[in-house]
Amino acid sequence: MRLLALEIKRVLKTKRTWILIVASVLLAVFMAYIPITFVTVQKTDESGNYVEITGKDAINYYKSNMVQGVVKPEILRDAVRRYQEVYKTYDSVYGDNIPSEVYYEKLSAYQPYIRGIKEALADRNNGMSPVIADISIDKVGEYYDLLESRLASVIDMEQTGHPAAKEVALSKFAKVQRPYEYYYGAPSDSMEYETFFIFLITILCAVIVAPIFSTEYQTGADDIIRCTKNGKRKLAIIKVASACLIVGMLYLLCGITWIVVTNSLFGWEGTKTSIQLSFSVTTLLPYNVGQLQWANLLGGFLLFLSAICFTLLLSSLAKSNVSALALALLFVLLPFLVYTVMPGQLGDWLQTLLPGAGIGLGNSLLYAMTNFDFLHLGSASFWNTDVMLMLALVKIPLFIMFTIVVYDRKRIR
Amino acid sequence: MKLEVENITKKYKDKTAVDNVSITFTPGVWGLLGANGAGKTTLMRMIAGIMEPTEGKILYDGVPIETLQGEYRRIFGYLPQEFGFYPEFNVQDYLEYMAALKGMPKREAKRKIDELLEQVSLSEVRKKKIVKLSGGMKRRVGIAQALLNDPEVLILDEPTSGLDPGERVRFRNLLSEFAKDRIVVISTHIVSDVEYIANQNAIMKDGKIIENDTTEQLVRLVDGKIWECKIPSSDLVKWERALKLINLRNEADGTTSIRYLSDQAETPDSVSAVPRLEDLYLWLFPQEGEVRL
Repeated sequence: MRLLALEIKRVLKTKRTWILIVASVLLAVFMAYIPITFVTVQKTDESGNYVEITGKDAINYYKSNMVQGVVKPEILRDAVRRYQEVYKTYDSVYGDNIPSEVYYEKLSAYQPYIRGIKEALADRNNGMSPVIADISIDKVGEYYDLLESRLASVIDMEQTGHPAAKEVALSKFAKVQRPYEYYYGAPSDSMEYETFFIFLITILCAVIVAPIFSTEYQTGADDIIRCTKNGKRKLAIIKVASACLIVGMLYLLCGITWIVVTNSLFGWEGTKTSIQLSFSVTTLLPYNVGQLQWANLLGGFLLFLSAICFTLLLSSLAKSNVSALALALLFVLLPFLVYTVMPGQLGDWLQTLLPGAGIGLGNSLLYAMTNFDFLHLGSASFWNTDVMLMLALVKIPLFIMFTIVVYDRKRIR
Repeated sequence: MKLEVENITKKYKDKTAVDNVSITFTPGVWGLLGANGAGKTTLMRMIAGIMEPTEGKILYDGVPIETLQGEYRRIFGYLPQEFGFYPEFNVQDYLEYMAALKGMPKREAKRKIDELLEQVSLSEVRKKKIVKLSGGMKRRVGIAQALLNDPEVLILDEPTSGLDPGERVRFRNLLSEFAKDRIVVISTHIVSDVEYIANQNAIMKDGKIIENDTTEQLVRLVDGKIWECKIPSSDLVKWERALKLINLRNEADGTTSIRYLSDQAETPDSVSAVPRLEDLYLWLFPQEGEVRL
């Protein structure tokens, strides 16, 4: 324990570490704050002047004006009726084509429901959503009964030729609690900032841990250290443990900061909203928004640790800090690059197998959790999220073991 | 207690750095002498276990050091030629870290660190970052870390490089006290560092140990080959060309006292001198000879 404490103290004593720690915390607060700047309400005041309310005032406006609670069919029917009324008058329901006061007085309170209704009633063959005018009020009453068939058609379209994928998806969706609930809170966009923040903090933490072993080789300090009683395997274990502890605590501190700041700004009530009202109505996870924020943070923690442990392995192999850092950044970014340039199953598998799987934007864990991407192996199909997390559980001990062995056996040949 | 080096060879692609070396180190101070590139550092790194020999083995009390692993490292102290350290450490933090690596209990480590800092005259700078210390001070930090665990086997590679003359004397005294019942190997090309404290000397040349004996025995190799005389200072250039000068000193009377290597007296007034280790070294490595004023 003494050696662990001394190693932690050593890492924390470097100026670079402190700069990166402070930058990470500030980044968490910044990433939580940005979405609030996008919340706006345009309306006319009592004197008839056009005003735009933004930030916290706009949030308060929505909190007091939205239709919230358990989403019963009656609420859904009201939503459709209101939208159809506006459509009849203005031949549109979209912001630029209707007066803003009409939108805010008649539609905005029901806006979270209408997208889901259109999705649930979408054509089962081509996935096209109906236009507002064509939605049958009676059919809306069957909203919850339609979701399974909607999910089945989505999977049929996206995973053609893989019936196992549909089975997996339907069995997962069966656990989703219905009726859904809606409370105004952090919008789904804000979670993309959580994902972006996870991506950035992984890069910052990779910079912290990349020199853990390589700095010894670079400075020649390892010549002396390796001659000490605890200077080989035990030190390797201590170094891995201290690095994971430091960046792990930093990740959790910053992640929790992001959740606390976001929900404090938008309101904690909103965390009770079913994620099916923020993302697709057939999203497979039985979570509310708050649970999804935590799942993204903690699932992301596994993927983050996997990337960090691989960075430590690179550090134990590299001869200099610069090469360790360059390789670490390359491998953190590689899944994102593969996602960008290599679509299809091969790219999907590769992204998932790489050490930085799930760290990125379009290839993120959040994206996987809220989408219907499957990996196929023969006739079996696996939901991307499950594979990512399971592989992370395998990669972490594997990378740690390799790091310890590499450092322990390192001798000049 | 003995450290046996058995038929150790270290080959690189196109060079044999250490060539079938066998030597048994017993308690006492050992000087490992040789010119730069003779293979001393390579041999020391293999003894330290940080470099893999191409052939041969190293045994401590009859057991290969690879088998002993941590047990060997527990009784081992090492100062490499290039003293590497973490740049973020101050002297105290570094020594505490090294003490923990050496498995020393906290209380004992604190006592030993205080004692060593005093001995190597670094108490005043214990809170200073190592990176900001002078070369000599850094070297003394390196010496202190090597001595922390009271090692039974202490390997010092060029320990006095960067030390001023006073520091060298203090280092020799420190080592003389320390060396009782321990194996201390000092690799150096500065003969005066080991001349008065080494009981045994091994001399390396081109990767091989060419001589290995006590200082008294070794210097006998140049018995009758060391001469001293006085020459007119104006003739110095001529004699420098003609003789293998070991040392010279300008005298006040316009003459120069010279010490030279030769099978016989080269001037009528030359007298035979008592040989020293340095004389032997220059006899073995004539290209290393440097006349010091």
